[in-house]
Amino acid sequence: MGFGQKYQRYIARLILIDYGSNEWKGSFQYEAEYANLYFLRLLALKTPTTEAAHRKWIQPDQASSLSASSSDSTTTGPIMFAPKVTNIVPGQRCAVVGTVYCDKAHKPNVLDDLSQELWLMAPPARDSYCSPDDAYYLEDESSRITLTGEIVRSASLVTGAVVAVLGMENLAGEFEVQDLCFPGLAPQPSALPELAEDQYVALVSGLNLAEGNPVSLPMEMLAEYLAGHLGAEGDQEINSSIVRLVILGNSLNSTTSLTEKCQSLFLNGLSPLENLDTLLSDFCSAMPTTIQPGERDPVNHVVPQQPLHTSLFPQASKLSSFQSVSNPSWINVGDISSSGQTISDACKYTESTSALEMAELTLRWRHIAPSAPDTLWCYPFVDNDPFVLKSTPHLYCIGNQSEFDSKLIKGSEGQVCRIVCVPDFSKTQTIVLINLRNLATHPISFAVNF
Amino acid sequence: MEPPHVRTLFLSAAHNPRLLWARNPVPPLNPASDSIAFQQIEIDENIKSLSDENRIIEHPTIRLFGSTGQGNSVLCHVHKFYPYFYAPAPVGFQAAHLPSVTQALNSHCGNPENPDPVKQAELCERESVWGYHGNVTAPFLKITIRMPKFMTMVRKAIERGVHIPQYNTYSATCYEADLRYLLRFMVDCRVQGASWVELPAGSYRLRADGAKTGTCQIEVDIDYQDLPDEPEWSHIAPLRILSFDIECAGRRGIFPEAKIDPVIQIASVVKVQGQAKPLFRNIFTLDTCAPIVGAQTLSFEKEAEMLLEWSKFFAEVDPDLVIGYNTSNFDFPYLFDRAAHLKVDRFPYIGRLAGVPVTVTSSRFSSKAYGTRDNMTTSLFGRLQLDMLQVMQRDYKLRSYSLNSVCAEFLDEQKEDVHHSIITDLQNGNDETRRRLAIYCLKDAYLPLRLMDKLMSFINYIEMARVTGVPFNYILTRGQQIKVMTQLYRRTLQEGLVIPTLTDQGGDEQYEGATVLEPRSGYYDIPIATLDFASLYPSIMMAHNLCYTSLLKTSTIESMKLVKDVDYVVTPNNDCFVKAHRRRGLLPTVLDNLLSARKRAKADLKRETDPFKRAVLDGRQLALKISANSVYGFTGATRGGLPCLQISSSVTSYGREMIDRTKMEVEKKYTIANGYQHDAEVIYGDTDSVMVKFGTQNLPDAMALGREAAEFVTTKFVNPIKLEFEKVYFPYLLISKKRYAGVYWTNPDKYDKMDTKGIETVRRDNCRLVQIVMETCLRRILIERDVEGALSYTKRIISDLLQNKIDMSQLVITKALSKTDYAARQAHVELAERMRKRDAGSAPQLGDRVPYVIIKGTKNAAAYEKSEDPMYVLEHNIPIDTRYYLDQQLANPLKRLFEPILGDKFNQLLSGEHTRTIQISAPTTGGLSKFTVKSLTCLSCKTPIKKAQGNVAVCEKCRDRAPDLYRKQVEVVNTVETRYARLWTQCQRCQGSLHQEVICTSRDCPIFYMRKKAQKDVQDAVDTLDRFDYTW
Repeated sequence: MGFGQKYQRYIARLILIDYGSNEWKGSFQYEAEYANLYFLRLLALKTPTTEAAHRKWIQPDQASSLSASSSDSTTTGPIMFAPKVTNIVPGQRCAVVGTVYCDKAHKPNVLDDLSQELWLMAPPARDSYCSPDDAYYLEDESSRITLTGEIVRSASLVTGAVVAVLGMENLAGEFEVQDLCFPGLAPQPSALPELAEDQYVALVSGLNLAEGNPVSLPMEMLAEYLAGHLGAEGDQEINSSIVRLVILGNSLNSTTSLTEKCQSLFLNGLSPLENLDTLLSDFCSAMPTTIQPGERDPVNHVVPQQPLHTSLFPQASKLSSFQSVSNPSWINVGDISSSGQTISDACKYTESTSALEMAELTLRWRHIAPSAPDTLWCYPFVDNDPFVLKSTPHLYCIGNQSEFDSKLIKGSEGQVCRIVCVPDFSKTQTIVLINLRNLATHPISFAVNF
Repeated sequence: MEPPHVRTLFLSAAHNPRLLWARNPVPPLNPASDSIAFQQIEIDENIKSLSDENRIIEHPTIRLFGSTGQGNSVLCHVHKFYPYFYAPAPVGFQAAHLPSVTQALNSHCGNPENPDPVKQAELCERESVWGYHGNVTAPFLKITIRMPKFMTMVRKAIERGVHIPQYNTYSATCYEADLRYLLRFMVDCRVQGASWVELPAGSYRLRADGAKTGTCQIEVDIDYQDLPDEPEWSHIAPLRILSFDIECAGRRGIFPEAKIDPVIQIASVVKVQGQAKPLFRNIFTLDTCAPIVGAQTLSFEKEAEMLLEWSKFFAEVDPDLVIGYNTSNFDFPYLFDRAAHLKVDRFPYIGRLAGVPVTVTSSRFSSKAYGTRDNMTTSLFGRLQLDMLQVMQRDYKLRSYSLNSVCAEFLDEQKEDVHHSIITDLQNGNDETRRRLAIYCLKDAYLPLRLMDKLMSFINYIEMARVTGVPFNYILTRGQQIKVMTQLYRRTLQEGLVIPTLTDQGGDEQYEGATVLEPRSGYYDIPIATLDFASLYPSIMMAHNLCYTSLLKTSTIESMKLVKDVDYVVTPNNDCFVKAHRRRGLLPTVLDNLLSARKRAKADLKRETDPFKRAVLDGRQLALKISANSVYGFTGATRGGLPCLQISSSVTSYGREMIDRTKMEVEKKYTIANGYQHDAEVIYGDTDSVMVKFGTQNLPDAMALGREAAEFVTTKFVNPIKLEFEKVYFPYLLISKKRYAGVYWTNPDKYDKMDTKGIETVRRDNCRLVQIVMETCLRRILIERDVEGALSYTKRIISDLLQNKIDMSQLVITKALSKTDYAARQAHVELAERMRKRDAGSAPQLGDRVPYVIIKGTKNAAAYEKSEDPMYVLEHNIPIDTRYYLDQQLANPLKRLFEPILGDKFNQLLSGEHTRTIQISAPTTGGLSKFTVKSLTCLSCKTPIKKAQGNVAVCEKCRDRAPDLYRKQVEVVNTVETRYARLWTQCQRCQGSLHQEVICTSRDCPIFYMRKKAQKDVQDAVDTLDRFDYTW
């Protein structure tokens, strides 16, 4: 299948590579703005969020026991659901669903950059957007209201998340939040397939091949390992059960030339691109290999990032085991992978939330890139928000993190999801194996001490 | 926890926001035992009629409006104070003859309608303020008048001559006859502007509701003798501030007219002074409006009903201060005209006087410092007004005074701007579109309030009123002179002096101003120390005792046998003044008081930590400084109250002499011959400062020398004249007189700022590019000290400009379309006319600002023919006349900047190598564009690609380079995609909504054209990227 057919951007239609389900699609128009995207997102998530809030806050037995113990009508009593933000009645306790907007002082601001004449390039990355003056709002197409309360500040909220809030509008027109509710994990239509024996998927991210960073010994070892040439007997048993390798972004560091020949110790006289092609074809001859772009790869930066052009890899792309996918992307048995910037950007909205915690939050918000388009640039979609989760994956992989981390979360309806933070290989020389039978994780390090 | 009753109020107010409208109720008051303290904010004069011996006699009264510390409004009538003036008593006058003076004047001036204008005549000892005459007083008649309106009549009678039985015809110059009754009261009763007034228990009479003449909560009467003396200073009452904005539904292409176009929305924000957040906001709308969070919406079917309800709301809120943006000349007049047109008879009753309708009048404000301005005035009787537009125009010099650019400047945020052509469409939509408009209107009502708080305008004006002792509204409506005048009157009252009433001589005599030492232009890459005279003119007046009271006539010198330099000084202007031991001048005393009060305020400011009190103190010290500096101007104002050119000319002549003397002393002492490392050189001097090049490369050394030199030169002058070392400029770019720039150091470790004088980066008719280039060059030259870098930057910009690589938003020039009949043809007028022909509805109207760019035209076409709408240019790819921008916009500012550095080599900057490449973008409309054929070229070698090969990116020969070209094109795409995303998300943030489309059309915003261009650019870049799909 030629790449041109799949990559049909010239008619402004975008298809996310999508094996497990058919739900991630969207078309966009540059003539449009982002208002549509938020509208579509709220449309998709309002019902599940309202339902979750009903389950959480309206439980007949609980409500009656509370009202018996206190007579203060501002904290108990029947909860009204305001259909829209504009329907909130001041002084009356109610619940409402809307999109969160975080007004953070240190968000990149194009107006500031303009006045400093720096605007041509993307702003220098900041570690955090937070400051003590941050304000939080909840809005829908009807209106916007300020959210106050300690719970709002401590909830690690990110612009674009759809949540329900319970509380009351005060005299100053601010909504004093008593409780928050997220839509929670999306349904998981199929259980984890029963496997008779262990099957592994190998995850690697951040090879960062570049002019000054050629294929290294640990990368060589990785290729050898995947081909079954490395390790003790036990290792070989495991690596013979690896069914797929997924590369989660930043394979190349495209800030330098891709075709300049570099003087590597091991693959003399090859360019970074040729290096990667060779490495990929090694991987592909050992097992099916999926490559996903990251923010440093030679591909557009706005999310969803389009698959790496297959023609960049003349050798590897000839092999049927080679697969190039978008970022973020659904793969195979129902796992999502992201090369990491969706989570890294969202983390900047909070003071201390780890990537793993943020990844879990995005599952509970049912939206894997809430900060797009506010601070994570994305396409102006007009008919669907492709990042809304309609079902919970079994495996949720986040690439290019500083260290390995992992957590198994379970939903109230029996949903199970393994979240994995895959570390940057060029810094940690570590990959992660996931056992598809039981979602157990096994980090493997190829660190070399000379 | 809040106390229970607060909670109740809170809850009910949340249900019914109207409960917040009214003020707190008045606590029970017992006039016998309770005193009332209030801050008066407005004072006016009034007339009361009393029957006396079967006839009605009018008496003047003073009305004070204000608010108590608990936030209750007060109207206080002050009685029994009568206007008066002085005249020298006839020679040999006897006190016994006073009744005949009264009688003579009454029979001379009185008539049946105004019998007995003179109340009484008294004899007292006074001294004229004009000239020194040996500290002896003379007998004066103090003539008290029954009503202020008789003042001129009685005064004229005395000036022309009145027959007094014992003294034949008596005629004399009058004294203090032109001081307004209101100010006379304030001076005599020591009431300052916006000061606190305390009415002691037992001294005032409380009016019952039926006897009230005003709408204030408390109304009292008091006699002026019962007003206590010392006003309390510092705090500010919890005054109620209402800020409002109206929207009108204009017809397409016509500016709204009150007789035709309805008012559709009125937004109000009410705040209590001293509180951080507004008390409440509301919006009155014509037709329905969807609810708005944090604001009450009140919808009306009929416009007349809406106006009436709003006026009731206004009266109930009872604001002390009403603000807005351009409310004086637009919102208020429009509301009143509209209400009159709709016959809403009850509408104008929004002042503080019961039964007195508010009217709008035209007035002209003229002042040497602020220029002449025509204004509409709406007197709200007892309420203050602050039109923030007038405040901005008065206090700040800006490129543009639109609310949008003012907010960008001071609040650091762009304001959404809804073009008036779509306001009517929003109104005619549904309740959601009207809500959209209402949110916009509310924002515009809130912004003036935020501006006022941010700039401290209100507090600073209050402090100015207190320091200078004039009523608050004089600060905005009157010039500097009246402030000095009242201070003088306050002083003379204490010293038994009287001020002559001069008839307007109307002379426009000029006198020599300050001196400017010829600048030695150039770029100084070594420290330049700056020595400043602290408060130069005030200290000259204090040092040499220059005053009306010390002015000497030659005849006086002779008759009193005064000795030069012992008893008096001769100024460089050859005027004579007695020294302080003979008589301490009035003006030096006033100045001394002002400057030491400023010193105290500054010391307090240093200690104070509470931000609100700090603001007040800072406002005070600023007011004191301005007041001190305006005294000199007062003596020189030939059309002013008491001009005395002997004083003002002497001040400037001393100033000139001192600058010359300083130069001489510094250059004499700091020489190699005297053991210093270099010969010092004064490179420039202006009014009160001199710039000295000591020759040292070392910053701490220059500072030490500067400090030493300042002390040394100070010893050469009379106390309190003081030369201070303030700062070092390093490096320093001296362009010409009053034009220079430098990096400002007060501490050798870190510079304070970049300081520029007279280098126009903010001229309105420059495009943004000029501003950016000038600022960048100055930064490179001064802060980075990289002249080469500035030159290569400038060359790059010129080259980019000529190659069309400069973003068009930087080339937009904006001018206001103020009238249509300009004598000369102007670019923006011509463009507006052309746009009207294209589409009358969207064309700019009178009063609108017209943005334009200059496009390529036929050879020798005048600039005004080549102006075009930037949007039109973007949409149709019209080529820009880059040469115009280089020659007409950049060339002159650059010349001024670089000529001192480059000298003759400057011309290379405008015509060198870098100006050779010129690129012209092909237009897509008009002319030859129909005949041109677009063909693809290889992205690498530019060889045309044959049609048969399809839409490929590179030719066969360049295939190897495809991956890198692809990578480069990806970078281009990333840049434009990122730009697209950033610009559009910024607009969403600015409009305060994620879910609604951006409708802002603020052409002042740097983003406006960019975001349009980004949409075009991103599509083009992606199309090119897609060509790679056909390549491999």
